[in-house]
Amino acid sequence: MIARIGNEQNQRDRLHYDRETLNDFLHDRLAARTEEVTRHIESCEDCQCLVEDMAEESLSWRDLAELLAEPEGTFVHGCEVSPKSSATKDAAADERSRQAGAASFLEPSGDPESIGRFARYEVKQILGRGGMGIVMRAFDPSLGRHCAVKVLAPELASSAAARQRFSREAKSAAAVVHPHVVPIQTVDEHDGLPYLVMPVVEGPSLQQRVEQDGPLSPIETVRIAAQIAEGLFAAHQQGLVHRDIKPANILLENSVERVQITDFGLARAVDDASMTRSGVIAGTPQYMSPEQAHGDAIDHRSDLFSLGSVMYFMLTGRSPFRAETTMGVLNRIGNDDPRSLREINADVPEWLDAIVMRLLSKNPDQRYQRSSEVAQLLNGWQAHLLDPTRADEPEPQRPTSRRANVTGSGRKIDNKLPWILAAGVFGFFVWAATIIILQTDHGTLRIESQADENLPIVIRKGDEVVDQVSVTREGASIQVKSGIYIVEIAGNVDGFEVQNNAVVIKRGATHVAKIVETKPAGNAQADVIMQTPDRSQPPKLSPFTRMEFQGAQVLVTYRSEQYELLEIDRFAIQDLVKQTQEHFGRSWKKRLSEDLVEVLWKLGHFPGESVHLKLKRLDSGKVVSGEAKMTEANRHVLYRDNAHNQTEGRSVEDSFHTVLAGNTSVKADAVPLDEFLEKLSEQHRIPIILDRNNLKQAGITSNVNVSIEMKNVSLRMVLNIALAKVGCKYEVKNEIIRVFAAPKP
Amino acid sequence: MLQGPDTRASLIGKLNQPASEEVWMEFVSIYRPLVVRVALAKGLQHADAEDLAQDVFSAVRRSLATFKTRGRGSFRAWLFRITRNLVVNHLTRSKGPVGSGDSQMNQLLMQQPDRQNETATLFDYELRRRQLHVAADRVRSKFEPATWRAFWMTAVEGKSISTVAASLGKAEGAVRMAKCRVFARLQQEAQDLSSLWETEG
Repeated sequence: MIARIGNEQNQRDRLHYDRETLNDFLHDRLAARTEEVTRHIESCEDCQCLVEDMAEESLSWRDLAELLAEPEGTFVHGCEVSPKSSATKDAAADERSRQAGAASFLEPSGDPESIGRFARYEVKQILGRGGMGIVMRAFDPSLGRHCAVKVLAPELASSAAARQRFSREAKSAAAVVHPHVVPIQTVDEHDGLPYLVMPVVEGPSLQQRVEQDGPLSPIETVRIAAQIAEGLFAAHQQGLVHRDIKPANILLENSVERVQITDFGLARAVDDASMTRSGVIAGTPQYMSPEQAHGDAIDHRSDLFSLGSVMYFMLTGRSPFRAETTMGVLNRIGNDDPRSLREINADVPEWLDAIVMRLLSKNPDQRYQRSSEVAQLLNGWQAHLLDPTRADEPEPQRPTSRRANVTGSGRKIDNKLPWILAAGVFGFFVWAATIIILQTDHGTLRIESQADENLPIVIRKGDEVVDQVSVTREGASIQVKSGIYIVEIAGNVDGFEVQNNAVVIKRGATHVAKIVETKPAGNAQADVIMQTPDRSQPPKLSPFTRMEFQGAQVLVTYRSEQYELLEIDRFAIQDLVKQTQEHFGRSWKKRLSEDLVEVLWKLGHFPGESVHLKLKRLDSGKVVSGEAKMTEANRHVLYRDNAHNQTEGRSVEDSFHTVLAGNTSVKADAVPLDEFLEKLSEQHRIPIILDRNNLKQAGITSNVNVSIEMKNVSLRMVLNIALAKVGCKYEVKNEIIRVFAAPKP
Repeated sequence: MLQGPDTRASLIGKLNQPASEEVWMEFVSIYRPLVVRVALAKGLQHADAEDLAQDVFSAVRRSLATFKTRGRGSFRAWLFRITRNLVVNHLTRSKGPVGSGDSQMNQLLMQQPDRQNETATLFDYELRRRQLHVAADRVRSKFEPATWRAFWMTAVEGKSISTVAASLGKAEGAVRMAKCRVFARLQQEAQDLSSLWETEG
């Protein structure tokens, strides 16, 4: 079958294979003597040339390069680059960097027992890779001792700010010297990678201990918790907050069972780098405090909350706030009361339950205020438990208001209130405002204020600002048609809770305002403010081919020249801008430029095919005016240009688009649509709102089921596949992702 | 190797059954990026192109039932027709507050057959690109990483055989043949994709 035919020109050693064999080689179909044939072809240029030609079957080499060279997500004209251009390419790159990451920074070592060298340390073993970096067990030859070396992950070390921060935090952590804190012996940098060195603590972590042996006894819990509290106190005295107290960071030294806290202050050091990288919280947030979960400023009392969670874990074997997704955990930390310890483990004495629950108060003011207080209390109980005759029970704690009716700064969304869809300061919102998204059949929103100063509130529906009010002590009523509204409360508000069908907005301990929905008595008064006369669509025309915004100036390109725009049909540009802002909110720049006619219609002005412009030359400052024709062609050029011209002021939507373009994996087996969206929303930490009214109108029930299982595809793809099937689509607008019925053609 | 109309009919039939969600997922996974790219090439902004893709696939889903009665034409042609119709519709009617329409485009599409051909050509070109990318994603894992790199660096990035051989520590002949064998496999995979999904009627 494999014929070796002689080549007459070069008979001595140049023998070649026939086309059939070469073709089999090309298509991996060689039946026999595979190695021999391969060896020949790979060293014979003539055969190689033939194979190269034969490889062009349905495509030429040139086509191939052209079609594959450009990543799919990019587009030549659009300048738009999707962050995940090619799923597999990125995945492969990730994989490569992950593999390389574990050991790439190690230098070869002469010591046969070590896997490599880092700075002066002989690395014996990679112990693990955490969110922060790589932990290695190493030997320090100069001091002749074993140690643990933590290196900031190379991908996090790429930013100078992250490196500096790591070093700074590590140095301040090194200043804490206490028997219950793992000391940091060295903080240094090697080859651009910051690292720190700690002694090796022989023994399991609290996590491992509980996983192996099950929940601990109350006395053991008290002993360990007291030592943690002491270690925390040493750090808190120096103004250092641990920020990541969790069972894995509590080490139990063998034999002596001394408790040692590790990784002091390091959580903060990596926050910077990892947050900006992925936009999500690295690692498990199960032991986080509500203020941390909420992204607020934290102090040492945050560690006390985490201590409460760790005690809960010791006594029950599980963390108090568990959910399948990160967002779910965060929500529970902020909103839920944990199950009583005594319910899970009847051996837990009442006083211990009370201590843990007080530590787990949502509001830091209601926790113990100092770690020393906790240490003292726990030591007192330990003494009493060990020898009840010698040591008295510690003083009963002063009664604290139980958490039953306290939500602190938590945002509790009650299921009984379907009209409040979501509330919170979403992580992506860039301005300091409280957002409440609510859905209503038409009615009246009554806003009452108890604040001394006026409370600015903006109520929006879709693109429209329905009302922008400063609520005084007299209160305000806003009539709303059915639909989804966003209530945005500007200024210094730090929480809200739901009480008796109303949203109560709080600042500190005082209630500053309350939003109540009241239903109209009849149908008569509804629909008043939202009614707009039904006109045909405004045409898409523009006199300009480009519009840019520079501070207060609006620069336009008219007949290929750039001017400052002063007036359109006697409307001063400042007025036009102001009106557009009022009508369209944050997307005003896009609307003013792309939908100029619509904007003018909104103002009750209906231009024909031309407008009167007043423009100022940029060079000479000369003002020119005259009639300008509006065309579709101009507007089209402007529209295309806007794709990369209109980024300012849309950063919230932009961040959603980044999340939507990012890769994800989902699995749902006949899950109701609303639940499915809720899960996606939690998983990706973006507000996805199902417009039930819209679905109802379109005749789609919101409990249609979604079945989908996909890995490593964009969130857009997931939404598109799942929603198209049930006749829905989504849009990113007004700071939410709204799911609604897809229009029928 | 080419599959006849039966395959097509059975696939579409399969797609029409609610049980066959895998087919739907695969269908959208393959063709959605294509629709987005064509829309971008026709001048839509990114967000609007994504929106159009959503409309296209909800319409495809809705009209699955009617496909068989649409007479001749390949599945690709059918998808293309829907795509084009929806692009046209999208540009004709403003569907709401997003300023994404452009009726000039619409006129051009409606009135100038040349323009339509241009879009069809664009669509076919992008289709070939998409097929090749999907094929590449599928084939990549079947080769040694070094073989794949040899292919990619030479055939796609246009680096010389000698440079790549040096950087990968392989013989030049091996690099050259790796390139050919991957290419052959890639075309085979693209061909399979095409005959599975776009068999001409």
